[in-house]
Amino acid sequence: MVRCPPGAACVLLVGALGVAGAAQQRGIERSREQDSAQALFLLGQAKERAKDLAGAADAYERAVERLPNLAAAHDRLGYVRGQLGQTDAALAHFARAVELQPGLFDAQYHLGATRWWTRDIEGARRPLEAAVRLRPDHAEARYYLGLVLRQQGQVAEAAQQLRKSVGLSPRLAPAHLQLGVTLQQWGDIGGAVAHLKTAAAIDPSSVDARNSLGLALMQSGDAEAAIETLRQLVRDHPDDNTARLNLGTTLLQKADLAGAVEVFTELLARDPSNALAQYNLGMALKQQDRFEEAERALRRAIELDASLPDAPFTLGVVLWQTARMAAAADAFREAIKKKDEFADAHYMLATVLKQQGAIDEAVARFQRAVDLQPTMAEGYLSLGQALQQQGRANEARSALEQAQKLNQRKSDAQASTFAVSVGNRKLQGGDAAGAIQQYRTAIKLAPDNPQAHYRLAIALARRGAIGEAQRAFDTARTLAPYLQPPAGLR
Amino acid sequence: MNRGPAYHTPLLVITAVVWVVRAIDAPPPVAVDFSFTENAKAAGLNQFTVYGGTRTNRYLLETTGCGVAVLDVDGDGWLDIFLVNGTTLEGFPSAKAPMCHLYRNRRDGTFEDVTTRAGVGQGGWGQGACAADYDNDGRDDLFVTSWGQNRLYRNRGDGTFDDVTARAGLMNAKRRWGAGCAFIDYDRDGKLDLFAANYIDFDLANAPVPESGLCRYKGVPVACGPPGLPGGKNVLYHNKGDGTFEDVSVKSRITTAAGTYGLGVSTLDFDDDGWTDLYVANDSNPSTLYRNNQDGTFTDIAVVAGCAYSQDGKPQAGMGVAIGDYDHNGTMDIFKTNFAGDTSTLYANTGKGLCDDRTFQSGLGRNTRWLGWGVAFSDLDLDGWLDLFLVNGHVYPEVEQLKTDFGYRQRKVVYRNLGDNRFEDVTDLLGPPVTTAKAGRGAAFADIDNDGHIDIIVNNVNDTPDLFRSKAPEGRSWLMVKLVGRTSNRSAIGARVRAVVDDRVQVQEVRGGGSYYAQNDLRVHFGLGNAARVNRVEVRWPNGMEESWTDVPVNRILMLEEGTGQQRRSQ
Repeated sequence: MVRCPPGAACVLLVGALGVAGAAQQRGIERSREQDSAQALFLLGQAKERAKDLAGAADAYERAVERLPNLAAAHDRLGYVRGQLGQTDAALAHFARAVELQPGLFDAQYHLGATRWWTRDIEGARRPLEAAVRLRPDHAEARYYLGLVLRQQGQVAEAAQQLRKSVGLSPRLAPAHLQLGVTLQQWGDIGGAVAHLKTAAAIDPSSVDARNSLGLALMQSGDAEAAIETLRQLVRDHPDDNTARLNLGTTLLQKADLAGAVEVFTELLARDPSNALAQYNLGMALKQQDRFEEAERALRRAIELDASLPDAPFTLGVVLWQTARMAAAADAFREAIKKKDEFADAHYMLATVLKQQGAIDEAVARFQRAVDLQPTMAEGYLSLGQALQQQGRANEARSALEQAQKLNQRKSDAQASTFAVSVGNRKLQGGDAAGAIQQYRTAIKLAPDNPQAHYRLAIALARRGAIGEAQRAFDTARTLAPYLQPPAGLR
Repeated sequence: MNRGPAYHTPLLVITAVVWVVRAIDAPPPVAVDFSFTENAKAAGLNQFTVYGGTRTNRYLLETTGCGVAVLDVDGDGWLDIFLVNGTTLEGFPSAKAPMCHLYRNRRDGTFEDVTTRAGVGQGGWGQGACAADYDNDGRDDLFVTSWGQNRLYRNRGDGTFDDVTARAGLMNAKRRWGAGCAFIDYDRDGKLDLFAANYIDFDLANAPVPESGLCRYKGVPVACGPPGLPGGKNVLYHNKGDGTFEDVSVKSRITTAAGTYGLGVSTLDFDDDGWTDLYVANDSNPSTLYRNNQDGTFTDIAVVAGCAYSQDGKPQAGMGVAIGDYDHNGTMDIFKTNFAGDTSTLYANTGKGLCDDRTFQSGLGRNTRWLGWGVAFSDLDLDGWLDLFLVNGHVYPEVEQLKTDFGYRQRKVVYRNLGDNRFEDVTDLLGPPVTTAKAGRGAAFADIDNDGHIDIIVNNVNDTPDLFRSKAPEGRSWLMVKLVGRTSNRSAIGARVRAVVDDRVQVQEVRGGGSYYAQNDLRVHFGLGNAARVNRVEVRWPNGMEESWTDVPVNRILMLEEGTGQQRRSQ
């Protein structure tokens, strides 16, 4: 057979065979190239199976040289390059594969996942969406897509993908972990705890799962379980400083101040430069009324990490509490310098300034505080009082009215929560009418209480008022998208 | 009972005055020259106060505990003690139901239980008590608040009391949660009226419960409220002078207070205009300062005056209240006990209708672990400066499940007044029994043994009471003044007394209520240091008349009757 070397040699061939003959010959050559490329592709796969990554890479390279449009080879080459730590090359080949064959699931999935791993969240989304379209039953593709959506702030959509992922692959521990974290973000703490527990059970070596579980348990109110989980984690991974820090924080929240001090002190012995540990130690000491030691710890935290706004803030509070007003003001200013949108710091600085008689600046700071945090009732109260001192009666009145409104709203929200609880008890006891009355009271007190609407939906459904129940549930779902429809409703 | 104050202590100041403050370095206190012993049992005060569950409390109803009143039942000049009692959710067979107790002072350091004969052994969810001579017959009467029906007992003068609640027009239309109370002559007609705070409009059937998981303290399920529960409305009864009272709560505008969930109550003349005002420590709400408008009405000026919130504008869980002129500027200052995780609050009265929160500047901002109830300003070392004695105990017995620095039972705290607008914590120096942990609630401050030293009776929860006898340094003098009104109300509640020794002036008042759920000694006490005589005792009677007595000897109980002194002027 006459080979057709590139370039001028083909002209010779054409000349010798005529046009049709040349075309046929080129077809034969292409076919041979294809066969050769396929053979190299298969060789590459064999090399991969034999864990000869370099050999596999070589085979795939030669395959794509033979047949540049062989998408699958680009995909495998990308995969092997990735395994060899050549991420850029891997990405390039995945992208090429996708370009050549958008319908190639593996390429889309590999491209998306690798982009996620290289923190290109934006770039990861489209290929992962494509992967999920191509293979809706691929648990891991949904898992990665869920991660990306959560990182892009689309919590509801993330939860949906992650739920599907764990549905498809119930033992996929990372998916349970991420679903747990997502639900926690969403406000479904019960759901979060359940999935984090599953993640930790499937993969007890997952430090992240156990850390997250500890924090979620604390959030759910089960402090004992939180502490036990974190203590066990610390025992299993004594070098994991995050676990120790979380344990200390949990103990602090549970008012085991001595325990918290012990944990933070131990952590600092292992990691003296841990600013967060130093800060939390300061908090624990402050709550023990050990102000001098607290001050020292907080100052050390600031030295270790000048970017932490909370440390100068809490230091400011300690100084204020021990009547060192000027120093307290400086500390609050420092906190604000690090984080200008720190509403509490503006507020506390304003409080100190007012005590020092600097009313004008106090008013400005109070105003900033409530601008940043419009639900701060005490901010409006203090602003109103300061405005009164300035003689600005109308503005003062307006601020004080706002304070009153916010306090009332808070009080009503609490009363609403209690009414729901009482309603639940009545429903459990068979008093549906009484329960419905309580739920309606709860809604009147706080129309944005999702549980009030949700529980009303349940009670109404039980009484057969399906239409009304559905409306109640729809309202609940609008307020809390994670809620699932009760039996009989959609 | 604020559940979980923020990690920074909340405090608020409203003042036009610029304070120059210096750093509080917390030097260790010097040795303390006064002391306490405790001998309630030996004295015969053996009531066991039953109040709610001992390990868990399902409802807030089981947490408030009971009060104590001191009163002179038999008019012998020695104060007797009334201890309120409570019950449990499960209740008791009637023969075994706990009851309040009245103890007659035997004048030898011991007391005799005269409850049954006296007819004041009520049961139920007793709360506070206050005492005074409401019918001006020369005998101290008694008012007891309850979750249920408050009761007025008229002293017959023979060691027995008559329950005149219904006859007096004091029956509630529905169950109410009476809390701290005080007799007060708000209209200066010479007859004592009656004020009672109301805590929560509490309905057991519709109250949330701990197992709902909604109410947690440091992660442990506890009784819910008060935020989220409907607040009670305070009540004021006008004494009509014929043995009956009229409910003037709405007419007098006391129901328009900004805050609710009232607990500790005390009378005081905040603005020194001769008309008695009222302060109510509210739980989780701005506290209330009812200014007497002199026309039968009150205005709640606490928010405007700066006596309602913490320095940083937050409502606190106020429990007990102490009134006194701690800084010798002639005005009545206010001290309030609060929840754990928060400081107590010291509102200095500027004399211009404003409170200046000086908690931190005075050195009182260093204790946040204790949960305070009964409290009083009292000159414990007789140096002429008012000290502070606080009774503590946690709200939730469930706190015993936690590994905390504090516990359910807590120490008392004693602050010694340094005489320079600051206090120092001398509790550790005093040691037991002050540092002995108890679940304290109501506390009455009185000179039980007429020795010139103020004693303290504490009503502990699910425990027997404490009787703290104080002992001041030898050689320090004192004066106790008992005022007897003639045109003014006989108990002289609302009277202002000034003791002048050379260039030093101390100002005191005769007050209704005080502390937490308590009635303190109606006699006015002055510590006088090493003074040999008091140059002048000046009295402004509740009806406005002013008199003085000169060259008064010390170390005695001086009874002054209205109209027998040298008249100064009438208001």
